[in-house]
Amino acid sequence: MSFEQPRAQRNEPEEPELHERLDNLELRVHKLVGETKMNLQRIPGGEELASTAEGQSKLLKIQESARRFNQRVLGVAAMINTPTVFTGIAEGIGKHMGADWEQTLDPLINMGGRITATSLFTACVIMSMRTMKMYDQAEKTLNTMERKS
Amino acid sequence: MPQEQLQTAMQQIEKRLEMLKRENPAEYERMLKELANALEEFNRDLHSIV
Repeated sequence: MSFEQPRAQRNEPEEPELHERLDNLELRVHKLVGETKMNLQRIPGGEELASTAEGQSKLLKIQESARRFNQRVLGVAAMINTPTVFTGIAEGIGKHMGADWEQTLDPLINMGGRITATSLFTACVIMSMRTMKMYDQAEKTLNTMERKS
Repeated sequence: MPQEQLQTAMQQIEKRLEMLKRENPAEYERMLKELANALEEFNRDLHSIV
């Protein structure tokens, strides 16, 4: 009869328990949400970018990247079976959110030390929609300018 | 977006996430990893563009 040795005696690295892994992942996503918000704040506005050739090229890259991010967040919404909720938030943001996006976002990422997957996911939806909306609007302005010239 | 609308949407998401975490924690973990990877890629892009 053989008994399996405890993991520590076998000198194998111990894999963190599931709840510990989930806590670490939530912390990682929380940190990344904060970094993304800071990066978004550093990018010049769409109208400003549209005013120079170099800016226009950046504008297109940001749009492309925001669309890719949006698709991936939509993929997560499908994983948790909430694509209609995603669309609801996205449409709501499209209609109502302007320069106040940070006021909507901040409570989600500063929840008094409490991090929830829901607030993190919602923050991602808001950031992806805000970026798409902001730079899509700039592209429309750019197209209008090109037609006029 | 009106706060009440956002709160309602978040409650629906929370219900789904709690259920997923309880019934299929591996899928819940996969979902968090996907969110982290999507954010990492987006951040990398933004860094290289600006």
